[in-house]
Amino acid sequence: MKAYHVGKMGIAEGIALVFGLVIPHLFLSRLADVIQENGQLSWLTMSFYTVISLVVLFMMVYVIHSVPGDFVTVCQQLVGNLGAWLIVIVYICLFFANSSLLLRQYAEYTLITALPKVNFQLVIVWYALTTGIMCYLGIEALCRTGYILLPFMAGGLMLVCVMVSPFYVAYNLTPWQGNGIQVAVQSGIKGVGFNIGVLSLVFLSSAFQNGKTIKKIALYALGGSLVLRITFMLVYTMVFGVAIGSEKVMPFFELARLVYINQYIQRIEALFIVVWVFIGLLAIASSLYIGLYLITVLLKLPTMRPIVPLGVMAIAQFSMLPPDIGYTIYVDRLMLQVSQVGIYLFPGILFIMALVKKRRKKPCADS
Amino acid sequence: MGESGITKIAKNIKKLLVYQPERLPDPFVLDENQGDGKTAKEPPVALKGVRELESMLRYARRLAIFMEKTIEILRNGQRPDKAELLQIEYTALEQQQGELSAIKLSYNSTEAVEPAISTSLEENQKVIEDLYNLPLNKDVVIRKLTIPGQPAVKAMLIFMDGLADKKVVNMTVLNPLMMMRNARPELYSADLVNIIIEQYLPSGQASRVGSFKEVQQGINTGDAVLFFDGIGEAVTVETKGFEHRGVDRPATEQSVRGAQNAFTEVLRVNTALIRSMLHSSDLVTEMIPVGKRGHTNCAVMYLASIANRNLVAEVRRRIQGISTDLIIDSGILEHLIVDFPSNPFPQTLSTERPDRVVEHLVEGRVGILLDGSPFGHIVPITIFTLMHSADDFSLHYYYTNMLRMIRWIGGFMSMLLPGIYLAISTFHQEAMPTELLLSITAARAQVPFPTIFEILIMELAFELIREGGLRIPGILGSTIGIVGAIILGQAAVTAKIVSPIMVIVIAVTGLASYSIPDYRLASAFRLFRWIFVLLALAMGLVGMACGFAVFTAVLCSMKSFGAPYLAPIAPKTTPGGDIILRKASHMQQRRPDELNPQDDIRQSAVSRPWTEEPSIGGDEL
Amino acid sequence: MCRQLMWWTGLLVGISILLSGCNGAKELDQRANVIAIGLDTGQQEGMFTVSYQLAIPKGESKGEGSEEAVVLTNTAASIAEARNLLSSEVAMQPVLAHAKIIVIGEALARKGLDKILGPFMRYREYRGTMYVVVTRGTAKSFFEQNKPAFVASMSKFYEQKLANGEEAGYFLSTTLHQYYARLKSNSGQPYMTFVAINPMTGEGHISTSKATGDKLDGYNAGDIPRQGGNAVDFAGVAMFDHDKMVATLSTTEARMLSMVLGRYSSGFIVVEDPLDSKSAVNVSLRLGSKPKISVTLVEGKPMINVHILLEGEITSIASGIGYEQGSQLDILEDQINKTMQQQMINMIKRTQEYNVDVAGFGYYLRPAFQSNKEFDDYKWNEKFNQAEVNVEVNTQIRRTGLMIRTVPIE
Repeated sequence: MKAYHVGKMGIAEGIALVFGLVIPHLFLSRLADVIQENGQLSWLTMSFYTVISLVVLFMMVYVIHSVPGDFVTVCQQLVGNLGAWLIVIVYICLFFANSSLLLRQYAEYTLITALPKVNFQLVIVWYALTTGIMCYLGIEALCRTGYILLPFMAGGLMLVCVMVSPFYVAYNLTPWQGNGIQVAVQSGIKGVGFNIGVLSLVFLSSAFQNGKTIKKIALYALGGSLVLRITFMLVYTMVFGVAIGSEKVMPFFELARLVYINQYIQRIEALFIVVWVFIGLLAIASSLYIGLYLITVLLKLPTMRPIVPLGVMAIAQFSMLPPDIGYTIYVDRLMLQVSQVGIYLFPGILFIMALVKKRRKKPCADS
Repeated sequence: MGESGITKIAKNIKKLLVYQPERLPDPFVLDENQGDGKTAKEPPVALKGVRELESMLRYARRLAIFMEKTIEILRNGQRPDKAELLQIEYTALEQQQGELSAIKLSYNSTEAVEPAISTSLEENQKVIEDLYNLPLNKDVVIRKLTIPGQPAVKAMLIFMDGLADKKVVNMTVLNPLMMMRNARPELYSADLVNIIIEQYLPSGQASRVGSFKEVQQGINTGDAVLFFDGIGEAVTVETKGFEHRGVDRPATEQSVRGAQNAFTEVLRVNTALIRSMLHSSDLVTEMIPVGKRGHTNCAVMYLASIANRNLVAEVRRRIQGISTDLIIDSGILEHLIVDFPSNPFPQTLSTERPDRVVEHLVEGRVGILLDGSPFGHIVPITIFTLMHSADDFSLHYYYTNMLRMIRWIGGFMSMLLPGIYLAISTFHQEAMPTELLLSITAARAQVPFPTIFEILIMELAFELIREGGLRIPGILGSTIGIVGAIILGQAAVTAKIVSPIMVIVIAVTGLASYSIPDYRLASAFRLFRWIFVLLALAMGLVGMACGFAVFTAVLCSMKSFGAPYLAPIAPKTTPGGDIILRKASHMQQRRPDELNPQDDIRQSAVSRPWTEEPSIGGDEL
Repeated sequence: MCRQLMWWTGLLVGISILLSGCNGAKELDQRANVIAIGLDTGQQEGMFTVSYQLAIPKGESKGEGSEEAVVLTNTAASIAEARNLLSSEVAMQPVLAHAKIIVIGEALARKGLDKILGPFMRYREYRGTMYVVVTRGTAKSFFEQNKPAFVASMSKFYEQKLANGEEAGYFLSTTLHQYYARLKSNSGQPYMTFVAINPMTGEGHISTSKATGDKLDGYNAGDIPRQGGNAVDFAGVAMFDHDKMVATLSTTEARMLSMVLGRYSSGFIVVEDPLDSKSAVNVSLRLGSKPKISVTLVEGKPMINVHILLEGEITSIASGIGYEQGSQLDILEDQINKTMQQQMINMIKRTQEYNVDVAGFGYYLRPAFQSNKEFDDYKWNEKFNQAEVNVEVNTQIRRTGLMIRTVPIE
């Protein structure tokens, strides 16, 4: 394969990429944290951080198109070589951390949900290998697979939400202010790390046609994920209530376990495992790909394929570092806080420098 | 010396008693060729020298005869007509001498030189005998004739017995040439070959050839070749007429509606069948010979005003770039020109129906036909094309769509069903309703083997039936059905080797795999079924989900001649109205986007203008 | 190089799969399916008696025909221990994935469920969709004396009974999820189905006597006068104050509860004939729409307003009076309204007596508060017995059965 991207990725693939990076935490434990913090106003939190990440993305699109070249070149032009290395290395760490945390959580939850007696390291190896193969095949194959499997994922989620309708108690959504609007807004601003995957569009910007395409992709993907998240959160709160809802380790799985239509359609959560595994593989593979891609661009390597096995082994080892699930969830929460740096600080600096550069307009500006 | 009597007696007793084995000659052992490393075509140096010596000797002999004739004529007084003859012969000899110098040069070097058509008939005959291993090879017929002319022209007709139609040879070559007694033209005056071709060979295709390579190609495909004494060129006449199977019903792609003829093994018949359905001047048939020893003709057909030019150039480039001995079947050709030969998913559409080829040519694809194979190929395709059947368009689209859904469900079932059953019954038993679980448990409790073993046994049995059914002679064909059904199904269950539910699963899987229209696609799904069963065995539904994700990723990264394999779903392109489900016939406006044809629109938006006009006898709008 | 890498990877993965064993894959016939779990207090203090009912697949059992189920009982200090002991008692590995029902003995329910509730929500083998019932006596005797007469398999019996049997509202099926949701929400109290083994002597014991105008008595499970068939009664509802059972509601009260919850499907109401107090009129009633309930705070005290729309079909008029037409119909409707209202108020008063809001009125109060903290501070469960209750029942009799008038007998 010639290069990592050929410049022909369309809107659908971009949506699949961003969706894959942004949605999986919905299926893991973070939703329980959100509900515990914000109660019935979690939808406001989610809206807030989606809007903020959209704004940040638009800023970054402006930045990336202000100077010709890929992301590393742009950073070098705007903040100097050292700054560029710092920024890119932080992003690499963020994406790798995201990937390994996802891998660990998925492996742990596979043990809870589908295969209680399996050897934990075997599951890690298995997932790591599969994501390695998918990364190796390239971003196009990855995004296209995501694009094909995404409707099934969304459809599965919606189906579960519909199938638990006998258990809805609408009054669980009241008192509607939950734990307070201020609390909700604050966690909305702090929780932008949920959507850090949207920055992948900026890193891969040369694969998409132009800035308009990137903005459209971000709008659709983040908007769609917001709708999905809010729907799920509303259904989850209606069925379980805030108190029980914050107790559950895996909201989606618990919701799927509750499905009971008649004698024959019950206990079908094993079938939704398939959907859950798809989205997990896509998420881990996309995160890994972005991390490796940034490494390649930073070190100016000619091709990415040889370091894919290395990346896979790296995330497999990282994911086995935390000793138990409680610590993993704690690190996950920490990562959410740390990604604020990647969402607020760096784009802010880059945007300001890009504006300054535009204002200067001198041919030999020293920046 | 001096054998004593006892030794003699002992010897005789020994001879009497000892078993003497029969003296048989040594059995044949297929050893390596002695003197390996040289190709058979190249003669050894010594023999080559002999050939050159012989041609020089023949020239010398001819020269001697000519000189004697000249002397005789001169002695008998001048006769103008004879002088002309002498003149002609003199020119011929001069030319031969020129050729000899070339031979003399090559005598000194050690390389083989491609012999050119000589002006001497004898030389040409010797070369032909050399090339075709005459007189061992009884297939090639050499017929010497004299064309009456002024002066008479000695000619030689060569054709391959069996490949050339004898009636055509007699009627279009021998008859006109030998029966022109009355005309007696002066043939040697002008371009002899031209005169013969234009005036005296009533054949539809006659052309001149200048090298032995073309001569060989002509003879090997069934043409008749004429050599003339004194001319350094030859004439090939189209006389192909060997026995071949007639146009018959399709053997593997039967359909309810649609044309019922199928390709045969003769390339010209196949191209004719296509042309008979698509009467377009734009339809181009390019002939490309493939194979060094086989020289099989490969026809590439496309509509010049629609097909993407780069695509056609790429197809041509790939076929021309094949370097092999012989390509006997279009399947081999397919594997030599596709992008991913190690992937079992077919990247061309292989069909024996001309109506399907025509349909795809109009969409902008390229058709590849091979002489000797009744299956043609269409490139580039997507996986969705492989699931269409031949009469999809002749039937109503609701019904067709339902059939297509069944085919797709069948395709996925044939790949995933045994794996899903294994995964659910060994890992995720809670997904089964309790009643079903208890009855399956009751049935399985008496079976001594684990589920994976049952699957393997039943799959093996099914594959045996399938293979056996292919090869069993027609008379015994029905026995297979009875034997298979009774023994493998019922008896295995009664003997408690497999559980009844396993029989159902395997039978449904097998039937589902037969619902896929393309045989190679069904085989690919069958192959992947094993992988999914292994994944299910190891990790249950999680393993199958991982496997399916990788499977989709591999399919997404495949290309068939540059078009993505899962277009228009994977890279989202404008659909052409015929992917999984099919739109009504009057709504299919565009050609498939991934082919990037020169002309996108194939039907106007209003493809039934009669609906917009007032009907006969109706009110005006 | 690429091929070598693939071969090595394939080899490693293959070896790891082979060395790791079956990953918990077990054939169908290697598992023993538990279909019911019973919990009782043990003889000694702090011990529990856990009964497991296991299903025997057809074909394996010695007898032909119906499936047999085997009951095993363990006594252990906790449920987890009992589960451990179970694996030493059964030939195959027991799985709880197909357990349909959890039967809790009354003694244990009254003592409190907080100690045993832990594994039910945490361990993955227990599900929220399992039915929970409280039984009079012990769960062990319940299993031993439960012999379904009509249904072939025990698991089908439990499922069909609890999923489909709620017709008249005389009992309400509850799942573990519903119990736990009510427990943790502070807007109501949990309840469970109440079952018992009927002595089947034909004598019963009335627990709720007729209300004015009503002709029906309320029975608790086990007190219904009957003979024949399966000895198990599913009747009434057990009320819980958080995790301790406090009282039961009888059949008629459970019917009222099901109306308030909106779960009443259809049943016969027998009321005194308004114009002839010696005869009775039967009406088949169903809920016309979900009950309209509003709970408001009036000077800090809650006020509950319940409005129920019932639609009915006359099924018997013993006195022959023509209630089918016009104003007579209104009289009949009035009578039904009065009767229903009285019964409803009686039921709610009874729950207020124990200060147990099983109807879940607290949910309707939630929109009045601004945040979760305010609502938690209000402590609804303690203020429930101060609430004023207004019930309004509106009956509309739509159909009169197959007759439009009764011609008197000469």
